[in-house]
Amino acid sequence: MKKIINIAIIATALINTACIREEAPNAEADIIKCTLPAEILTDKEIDYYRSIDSESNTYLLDIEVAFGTDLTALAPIFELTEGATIEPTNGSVQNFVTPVEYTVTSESGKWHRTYTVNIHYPKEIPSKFSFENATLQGNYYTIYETSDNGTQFEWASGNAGFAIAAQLQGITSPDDYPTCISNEGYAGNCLKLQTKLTGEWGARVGKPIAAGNLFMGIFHLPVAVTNSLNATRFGVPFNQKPLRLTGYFKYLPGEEYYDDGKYTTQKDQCSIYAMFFEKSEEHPYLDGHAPAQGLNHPAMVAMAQINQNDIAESSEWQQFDIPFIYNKEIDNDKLAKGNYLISVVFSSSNGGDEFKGAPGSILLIDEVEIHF
Amino acid sequence: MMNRYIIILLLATTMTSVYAQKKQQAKWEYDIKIGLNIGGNSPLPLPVEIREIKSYSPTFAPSIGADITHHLNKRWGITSGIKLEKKGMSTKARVKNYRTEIVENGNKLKGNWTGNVKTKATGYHLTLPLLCTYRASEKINIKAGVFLSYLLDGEMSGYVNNGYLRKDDPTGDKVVFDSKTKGTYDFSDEMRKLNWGLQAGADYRITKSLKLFADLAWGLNDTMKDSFKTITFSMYPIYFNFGIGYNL
Repeated sequence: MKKIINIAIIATALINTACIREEAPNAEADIIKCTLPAEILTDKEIDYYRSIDSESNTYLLDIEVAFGTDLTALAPIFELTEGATIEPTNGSVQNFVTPVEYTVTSESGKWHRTYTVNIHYPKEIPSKFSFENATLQGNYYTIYETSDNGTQFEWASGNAGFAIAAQLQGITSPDDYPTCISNEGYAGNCLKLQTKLTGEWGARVGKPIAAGNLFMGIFHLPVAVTNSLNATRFGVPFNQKPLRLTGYFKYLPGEEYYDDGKYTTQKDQCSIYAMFFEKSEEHPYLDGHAPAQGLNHPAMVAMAQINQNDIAESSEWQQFDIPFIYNKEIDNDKLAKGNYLISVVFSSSNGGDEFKGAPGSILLIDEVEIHF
Repeated sequence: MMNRYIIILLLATTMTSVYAQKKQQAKWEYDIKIGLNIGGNSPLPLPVEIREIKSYSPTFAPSIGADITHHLNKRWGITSGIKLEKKGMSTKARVKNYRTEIVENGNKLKGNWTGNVKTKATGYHLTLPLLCTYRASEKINIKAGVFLSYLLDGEMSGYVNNGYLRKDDPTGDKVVFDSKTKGTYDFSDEMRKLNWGLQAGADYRITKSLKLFADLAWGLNDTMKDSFKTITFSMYPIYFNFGIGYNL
C-alpha cells in the first residue's frame, strides 16, 4: 500500500509540472477600490460589494466627499481586478453632478460589470422613518427613506447574506427574505422582520437561522459566512444629539426556540435599540460584537435600548419610547463635523447574532423617530 | 413427460460440449481473475480552471472477473469475459473560476468558484472486454481491444472550501468560504451508465495455472451524462487494473 501511495504522490507531482496549463485570463470585473484626493474624501466607508440594483441593472457605488468639493471635475482612480479595464478611462476627469456610469471589462474580455458611481456630499440622515419604500437589489429588498429635501437614505440588512440559503431552499420572493416591507403598517407600509431557517446548508456552516434585521451602516457581504459579526458594520454620521427613540411595533415570537442544534421552550425576544458612538481610526464603525458590550464599548457614547419587559406579545400595535442613556459628554465641534455615528437597530430575534431564535418570529416596525 | 425429455436432451448437450471442450483445451482457455484498480476520472487535457492538484489518493477498488479466450492459432486469439469492478479516487485541487453548483433538496446554487475542490468519484461497474490476444512467448500474452462498462452504482460528490464563490457567474455577488464553511455537492445522479473505451495489457504466467495481469482501461466517453453541464469539461475514467489470474 505504501508503494501505491508513493506512486500517487509521484503522479500528482508529475501532473502538476507537466499537465497544469497556463492560467486563463481573469474573468472577474470588479472595482476593488476607488481613490480620490484624501482632502476631499470623507471617511465614510464605501461598500464595493453590493448586489446588482434591479432598476438600473448596474452596481451602485456611493462615494461621499466633503461639502464644497467641485463635483463637476473629479478624476477618480479605480483599482480593478487584475487585468481588467474600465471605460471611461481610469483617472479621466468626469462631471459627477449626476452619477457617472463606468463599465469594467474582465481581462478575459468576456465579463462586464457596470457601476453607477455616485459621488455626493454628506447626506443628512433623516430623523423620521416610515418604511414605505424598498428597491430590489439582487433578489431581495433594500429599504430606503426619502427625506423632505429629496435625499435618499438606505437601510442596511443581512438579506444579502441570506441569498445563498434562500436559493438553496427554493425561496424566490423578496417577501420571504428575513427583511422586507409589508402593507400591514401602523400607517401605510411598515418594516417586517422575520426569523427564518437557513436549511441544511446554513446549518452546516453554523448559521442555522437568520433573524430579520435592519440597521444603519453597511452589510459587508464577503465575510457574511466566515465572520458574520464583522459583516454588520454599524454607524452613519449624525450631527445632532439624539435624546429619544420612538415608534410602533408588533411582535409575535415563533413557536419553538432554536438554540445550538435543538429546540427549546424559551420565548424569543426581539431587539429594538440604537447606538451613538464616536468614530476614530480604531473604530470607523462598530461591528456585531459592540451591541453586547453596550456602554462598556470604548467608542460608545450613548445607547437607547428597549426594556424586554415592555415587549408584550401582541398582534396590536404598541408604542415604544426609549431614552438615550449617555456615559460621555458630547463635543459640539465634533458633532458638527459629523464625528459621531448613530445606528438604529431592529431584529426579530435578539439572539440572531449568535444564530439563536425562534423561526417564525415576526417583528413589525413603523413610524420610527429619533428625537434630538 | 415432454419436460423430462427436454431436460435429458439439455444434459446430454451440456455433457457433450464439456467433453468437446476438454478435448479442445488448447483452443479454449478460462481464467478467474482478482485485482485492483488504480487510476482516476480525469479531464484531458487538464482544464485551465485547475491550478494545482493538491492531493490524489486511490480508493480501495477491487475487481473480480472471468475471462474466456479462444485461441485461433498458435499466436492469435480472442478474449472476452465479465468483470465486476470498483473504480474510485479522491482528489483535492485548487481551482480558479471553476463552474460549479451547490445542491440541497434539489435546489441549486450555481456559481464560479475559486479555491479548493475536493472530489470523490467511485463506481461499481459490470465490464465486458473484447480483446485480441497475441502470445508473445510461452509466458507472456499481450492483449488489446475495447471494453464496455455498465455503472451499477456510483458516487460523484465532494465539497468546496477555502476560497470564494461568485454567485451565478464571475460578475455575481462574492461570498468567502473558509476551511470550516464547506459547500457540498453531489452529482451522483448525473453519472453516465454506459462507458466504453480502449483496453490494453499483458499476462505473465508464473506457474502452470497462475498468472499476473496488468491492463490499462482508457475510457473514451465522459464520466458524466451529456446533459450535465455544470462541470464544463469532460472527465474520462482512466484506470490501471492489475492482479492475479487462475487458469482453470
